[in-house]
Amino acid sequence: MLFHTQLYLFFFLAVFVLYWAMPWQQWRVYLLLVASFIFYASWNEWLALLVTGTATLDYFLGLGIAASRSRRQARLLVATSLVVNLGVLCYFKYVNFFLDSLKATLALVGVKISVPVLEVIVPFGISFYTFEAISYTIDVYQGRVKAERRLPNFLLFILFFPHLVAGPIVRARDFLRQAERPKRWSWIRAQHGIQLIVLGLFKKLAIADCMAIYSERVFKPDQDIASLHSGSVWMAVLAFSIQIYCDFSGYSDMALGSAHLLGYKLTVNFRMPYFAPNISLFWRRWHISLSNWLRDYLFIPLGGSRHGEWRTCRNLMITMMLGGLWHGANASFVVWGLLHGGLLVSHRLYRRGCDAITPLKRVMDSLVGRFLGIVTTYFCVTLCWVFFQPSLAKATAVFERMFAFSKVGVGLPMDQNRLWWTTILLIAAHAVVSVGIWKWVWQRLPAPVIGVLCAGVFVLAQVLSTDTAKAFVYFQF
Amino acid sequence: MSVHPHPRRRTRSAKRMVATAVGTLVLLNVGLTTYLCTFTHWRDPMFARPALAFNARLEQQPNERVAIAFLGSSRTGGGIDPRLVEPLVTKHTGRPCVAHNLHVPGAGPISLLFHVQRLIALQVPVDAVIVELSPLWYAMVDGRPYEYRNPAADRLSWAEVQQAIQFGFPAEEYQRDWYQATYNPWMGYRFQWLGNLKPSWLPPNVVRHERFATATLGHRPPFFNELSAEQKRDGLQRMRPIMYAPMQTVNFDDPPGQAMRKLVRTCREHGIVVGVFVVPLSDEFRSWYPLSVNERIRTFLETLHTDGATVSIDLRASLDNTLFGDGHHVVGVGVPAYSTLLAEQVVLPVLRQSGKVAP
Repeated sequence: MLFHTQLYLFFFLAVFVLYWAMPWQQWRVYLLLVASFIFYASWNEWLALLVTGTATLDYFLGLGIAASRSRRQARLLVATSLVVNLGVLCYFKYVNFFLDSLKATLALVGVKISVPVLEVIVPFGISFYTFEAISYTIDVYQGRVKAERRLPNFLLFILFFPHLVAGPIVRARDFLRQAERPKRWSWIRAQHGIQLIVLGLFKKLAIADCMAIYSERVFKPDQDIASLHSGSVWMAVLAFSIQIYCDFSGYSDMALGSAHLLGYKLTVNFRMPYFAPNISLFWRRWHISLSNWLRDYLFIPLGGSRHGEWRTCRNLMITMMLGGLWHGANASFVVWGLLHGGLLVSHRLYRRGCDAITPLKRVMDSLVGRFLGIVTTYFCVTLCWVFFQPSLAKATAVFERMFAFSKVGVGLPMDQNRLWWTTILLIAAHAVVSVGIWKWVWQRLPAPVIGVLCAGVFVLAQVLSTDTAKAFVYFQF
Repeated sequence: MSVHPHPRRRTRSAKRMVATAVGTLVLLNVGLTTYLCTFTHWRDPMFARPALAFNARLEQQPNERVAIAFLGSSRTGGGIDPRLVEPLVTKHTGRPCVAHNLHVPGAGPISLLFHVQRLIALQVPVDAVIVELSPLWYAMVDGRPYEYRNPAADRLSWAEVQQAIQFGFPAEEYQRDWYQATYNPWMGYRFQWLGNLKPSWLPPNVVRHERFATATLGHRPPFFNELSAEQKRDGLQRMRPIMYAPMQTVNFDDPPGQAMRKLVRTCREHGIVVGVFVVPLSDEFRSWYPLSVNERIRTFLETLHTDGATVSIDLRASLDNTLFGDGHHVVGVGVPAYSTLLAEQVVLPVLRQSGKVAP
């Protein structure tokens, strides 16, 4: 059940009406829980049971950690949670990758083995809800959050359908507080929710799906890119960077909007990352919930930036490498993570050098410097996206074609004007928002005008849609 | 949100916004649905635009002109150039000829029946329709007509959907698709609208119609003017896995055959003369039909003639093999021969035998 389908619309309307018709908060929790289970079970009922089962185990482990008499006992329970959650994640998502890697590694030293290929269905959103469960047990252990006593509330924290399959990764202390708080209907919230859903739908249908037509000509596994001229490959890579941003941020917007309409506030996941003037800020604006999670549960426990430059760089590389692996069970995602780690390290060293040279610092902090920073960051991030697909060989082939600068070959399958217009409009929209013009205008528009605009954007999103029910890119994670 | 610091004013403002948004959306949807239910031909601009262009041309012509409409699939669309047919007909009949190619890619007998009904509903004063008969489209696959799915439900009116169901289209699926498209029309008809507003922005796998409606009188110039022998062989071999099996089971007693007979009878009732031609094919493609089907084709052509088709003729062996790209679509160099063949073997005999022109 994808967010931009009619089926989801009917499902959500039914949940919405029943939800606000119920007078008791706890009954609303039960309703959302049942709805979330049905939402997940519509893909696969057995995997829905798996998610519920592991979440129930984490609930009891959380209670056990809170009730532990000794730190040793508590640590054991946390370790149990980590083993179970990461074990399930590793089995479903990484088992074939690990087996292939083992085979390749042994082959390097001359040992030949044959490994089975396990036919495993990867549960949707397993990476997301696994991280949420792990953050809960660790937070309980560290006293950042009290163990939740009510099982339905805890299950809702994991299973809440707006964020279940592709985030944002919510923290227990943010969500559980909201779950127990009585909800009152708010028109302001409803407006905000509708605006977010319409915006997300537009990004997904009108932009992301269209950009996929360009990018798939290069990135689909069966596509031969040797027949394309280099300019086409560059355009496809540009299209892919737009696709992945609009697809994921569009989904997040719809998730946030759906949650708002049910009285819940989820964490914002994107803040115009392509306008970040450096890679460090990029990662504070892109998939914010994941970056925060990696910072709090991986980077800081590794030592963070507290133990000197060398260890900070090492911690950055490890964090980003694992962050890459989180996205996909393939060497190319690991390379992608390492590239970003390298960019972060380079930026860190560059900043230290810049800070030491005052005139240079002044230039880099100026408007021109920031503009150059935005362009450079976007360029580096876009080149890294070439590895953000499940084939290292394909990534290599794409780079080869890009930097061959060949004018021989065919173009992309669709009129390129749509790509250019979309790019220009996106840049213009970002610029207008970032300088505050949009907010100024939006706050002064009469409410009926905003209503008509929302309806118009909703209709436009549908007219410009290029396909039906294309799955969100991030569902594979 | 508006700049209203007072919560009550912000709440009122938000209420107005939500109400306006929902109301506007409902109005837009109801408005478009009403428009499409009133002007049903706009559900399918791929047919409507050339048909209306044809009508506009006829209105500008003197009354003694003869109006010819070619109906068929991509074979007709790519093979027949009305600009080559018109002077030939004028030369042999002494009367101005207005011809238009109203093909729709993927159209089989059921779609062609709808096209004729639409022409009549639009009151296009056509004298003769020349209708393609491609035997493959008369096969049934898994109990459904071979052309199933080519007239997508969103391109049909409700009455046409019911007719399609009578001819073997799956009722539940078609009706559901029709409802979904009609009650969410901005989504359901997006390709139709985008095709009218900004056709270059259509996805590559959606057929574009706007270019051919008027400039080439509906003719869709073949993609390749000429192909090498190897390319033609490859094209033919690509067709075989798709088409060979259904070609063995063609039976004109099935619903598609009934649709074609209804087409002929409908034309006769409305004073429109009909010429039916079996599409030209390459030798190899033609050889995929078994002898039993060949016999059925011959019998069916006689049946159509009895039903009222002025001319019903088998042209499968009428064009040189070298003119085909994939065995059943001609390449660019084959268009003059295809058009001339249709003009001489079908159009002129139809006009003469029906008395529309002097013998």
